[in-house]
Amino acid sequence: MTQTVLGQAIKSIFLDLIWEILYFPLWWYGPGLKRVALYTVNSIKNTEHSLGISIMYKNLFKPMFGQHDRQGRLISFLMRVILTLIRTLMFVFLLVFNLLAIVFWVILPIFVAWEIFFNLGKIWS
Amino acid sequence: MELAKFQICSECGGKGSVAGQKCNTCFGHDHFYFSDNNLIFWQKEISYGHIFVRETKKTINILINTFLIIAAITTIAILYVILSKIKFDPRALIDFVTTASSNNLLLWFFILLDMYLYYRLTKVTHSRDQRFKLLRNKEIYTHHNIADDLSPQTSKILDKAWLYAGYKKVFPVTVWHLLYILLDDREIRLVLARLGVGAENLKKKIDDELPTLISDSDKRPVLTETFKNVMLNAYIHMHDRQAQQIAEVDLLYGLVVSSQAIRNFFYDFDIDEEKIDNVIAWVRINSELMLRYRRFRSKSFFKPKSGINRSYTAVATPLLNSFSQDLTLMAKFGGLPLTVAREKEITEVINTMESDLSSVILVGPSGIGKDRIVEGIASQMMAEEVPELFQDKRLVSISVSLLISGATGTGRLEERFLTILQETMISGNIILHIENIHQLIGISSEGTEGIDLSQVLAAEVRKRNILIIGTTDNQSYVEYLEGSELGNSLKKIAIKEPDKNQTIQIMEAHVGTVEGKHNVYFTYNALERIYDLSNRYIPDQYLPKKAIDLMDEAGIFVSKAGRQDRLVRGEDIEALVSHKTNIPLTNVTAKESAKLVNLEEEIHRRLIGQDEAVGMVASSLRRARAELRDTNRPIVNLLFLGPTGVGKTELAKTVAETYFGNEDDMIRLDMSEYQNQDSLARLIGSPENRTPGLLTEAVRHKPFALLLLDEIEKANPDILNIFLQVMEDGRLTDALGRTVDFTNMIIVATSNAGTSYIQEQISAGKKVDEFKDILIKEKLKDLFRPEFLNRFDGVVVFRPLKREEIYQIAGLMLKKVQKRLDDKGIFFEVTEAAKRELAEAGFDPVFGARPLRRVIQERVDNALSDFLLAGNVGRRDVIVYDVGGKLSLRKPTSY
Repeated sequence: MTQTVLGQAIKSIFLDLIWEILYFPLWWYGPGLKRVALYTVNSIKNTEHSLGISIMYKNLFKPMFGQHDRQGRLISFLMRVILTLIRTLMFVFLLVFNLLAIVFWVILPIFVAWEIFFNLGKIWS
Repeated sequence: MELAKFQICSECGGKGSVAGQKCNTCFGHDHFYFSDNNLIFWQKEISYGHIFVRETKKTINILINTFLIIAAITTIAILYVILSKIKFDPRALIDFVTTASSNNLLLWFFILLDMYLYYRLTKVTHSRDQRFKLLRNKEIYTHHNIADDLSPQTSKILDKAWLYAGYKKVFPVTVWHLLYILLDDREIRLVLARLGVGAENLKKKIDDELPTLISDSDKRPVLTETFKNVMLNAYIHMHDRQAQQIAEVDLLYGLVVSSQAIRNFFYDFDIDEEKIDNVIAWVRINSELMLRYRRFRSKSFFKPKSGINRSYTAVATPLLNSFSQDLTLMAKFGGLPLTVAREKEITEVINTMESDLSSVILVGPSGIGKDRIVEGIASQMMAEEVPELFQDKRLVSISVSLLISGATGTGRLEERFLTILQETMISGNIILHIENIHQLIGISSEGTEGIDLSQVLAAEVRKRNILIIGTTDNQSYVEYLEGSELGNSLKKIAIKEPDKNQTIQIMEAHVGTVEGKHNVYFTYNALERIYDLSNRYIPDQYLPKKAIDLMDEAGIFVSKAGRQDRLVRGEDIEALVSHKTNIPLTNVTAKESAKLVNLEEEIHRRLIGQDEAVGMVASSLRRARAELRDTNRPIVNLLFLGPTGVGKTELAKTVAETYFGNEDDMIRLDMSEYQNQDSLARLIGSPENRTPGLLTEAVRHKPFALLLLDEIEKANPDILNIFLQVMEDGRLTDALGRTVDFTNMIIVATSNAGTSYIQEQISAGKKVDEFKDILIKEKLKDLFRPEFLNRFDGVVVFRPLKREEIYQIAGLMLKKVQKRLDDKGIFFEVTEAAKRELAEAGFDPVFGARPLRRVIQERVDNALSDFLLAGNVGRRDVIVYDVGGKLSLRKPTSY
């Protein structure tokens, strides 16, 4: 009786483990990838929010600090253009960085697998 | 709370198969529950074998995870070794990945293991998310096994319940087994502590009585149907609270909902399903608050620290800053408390302001939480969880007193105020909060009396140049703002007292601070009693402040009581409120119960005779103490009828002492002073002069007392009409518009009306009951209207005193003389014959006991004072009073 239970336990655990290992690559490119993509989108949104890019574009022609006279408007516009440009550049840089994270996720397993086979192959030979 | 039950499949009759094939309706699950296009079933095998497999799996999982975590640490170590060997050069990196070595192989292998560890740790939550998305989608038909939602803890609890049944050899596995195991759980113990019950008592009771508690005939080691229904209801509860795993509290809820026996069991400990659900909600509220706090903290990062907005359109506002406090900035730095259960009011303010850019005024009594609502708006503005109108703006609170102080000189104050408004307008990112905005009315500096600050502000508000959230109390709104220019330019939002549920939620959010401060622990019952009692017995303050104040006091009260358990229970709140108000509220103790049963005897210690009157009063007090009375009326309304000097006032005093603990807890009005209609203004105040009324003020300051209306028949009939309402509704509105609460008063009216009739009838040898009806219906009808007499809970007729009673009263009065001398260290004795003589001299069937008091005063007190002044009396001497007013002295013979 005990032997049967033990046998069943080992069988069930073994099967579960096999299934888990087989599902690993599927998960990586399925739900896992989705998870990373969502995380990246959130991160991009936060970057946009903290840099206030959309606010800067929306207010491009609005005078800064309540300076409604002509000179004030002109200086404001120039300042805003410079600020918006700098921030846009920063945003693009961070955007690329974030997108690279997805690329990294996608190529990581292939790269790791290739490295393992490459190293194994060389050491073997 | 609705009970959900698994239903038996009608197709296969609960067998799971039809003609050897799996049933098409229930898919072999025989019992199922169908809801929102989901087929829910329970499928979990519990046996020694299955428990063994589960435990082994768990151990192996731990081993694998430990191995993978070690691998992750090793990866870092290998990386370190490799990096320390190679030069920092991009070309070296390419060399590294293209050169094979055992070190490299090891590194990549360990990275693969790290990836696998990440996969193992995140895939569980991910698959749960997917499952719940499917279950919530009503379009998709889903089969779902409740057992898949068990948390590791609850899964273990079920296994343990099965093992407990095996250990006790009491099968099948029932709700009792589950409850027994559940009582060991930390979370459940916390819930029970909040309910004021120790888990050990319950456990012992179940363990001792287990065989008798289970009446099932089926003795197989399986779960009963009720047990399965517990799981179904726990699952529904989990769903309702939007969780993804069945937790221990869900099981507790499931148990209480599904099993009548468990409900009865808990009922013995004063716990019902509603209380359990409320305590579970309490735990949930706290975790939601924690989440909200974290969300606000993370969002505070984006809010600018300076007064300049994110679009740089704002300007610096130096003057405004020096007279105000930036609430959004305070919220950013976590300086504002979380606003709880006020979402409705916050939304109303935001919607009103957003609809047509109008400014608002929050009107409500102090203590109702107006400032907390404004702080809630500030917190939401900080997190930018508001409509566009409020986004990227500051909520700044101006202090009127700060604004006015130091502004001396003509036009100085106006200049200051106008500059502030100017700064606000130009900046364009400011919403002003002005606390007690009515204080601006009539404020102007010397020499500029023509126009005040409120008019300046009203003009700007009307032009939509600035946005304001003002606050004021009801009285000031009526007095100063209604009809004024400023009042007309602001939209009024009335803030009402929070209801029971809201107040309890607010208290639940606040209780942690009080518990931490006083090192005590509140039960749910205590919070409920705080709401009930503060609502009923603190009529001059408002919720939620009065409840929070009472909670704080209760914390101090229990922490100073020096008890071991430091648990604040409902009884503690009753004791505290009783202590504050002198109203007996605690459960009737054995001693008090004996006193109440023998109340007549207790009263007779002070009052001689009048058995019918005493009996009637005693029973109405017993009714009030047993809380069988209508709480929307005064405790009791009584009319005492009878000749003068028979004990009407004395009985009223005795009632005050018995019920409120002190005979001074009495408001006495001589109604003969209110004979004309104009005296109404004295009673309830005058709206013209804005003077408060004698009666309403007295009751406002002493809401727990006896109201004695002496000689009520002499009052003007219009005044009696006022009391009609008091006696019926238990409240009265004074001339200033304040509602005064009479529901905790005992109203006693006395009257000499019908005295001659009473005396005639008593002389004719009739009993009170025999003529009482005629007295009320015939003899009093000219004085009191029938509806007035009808409002009294009892009309108590006092009869003239008999000779024997006067003798007993003489005894009582002489005892008082004795007591006075006792205080001087002198003993006093009256001979029996002298007492008879005094009673005889003081007996008067018309004037009752009053002549007796005069006789004792004249004969005894006067003689005694002469005797004492003669100076022959020393301490411990005995003065003996004898017939004819003769006094003699007896010196002590020994020590």
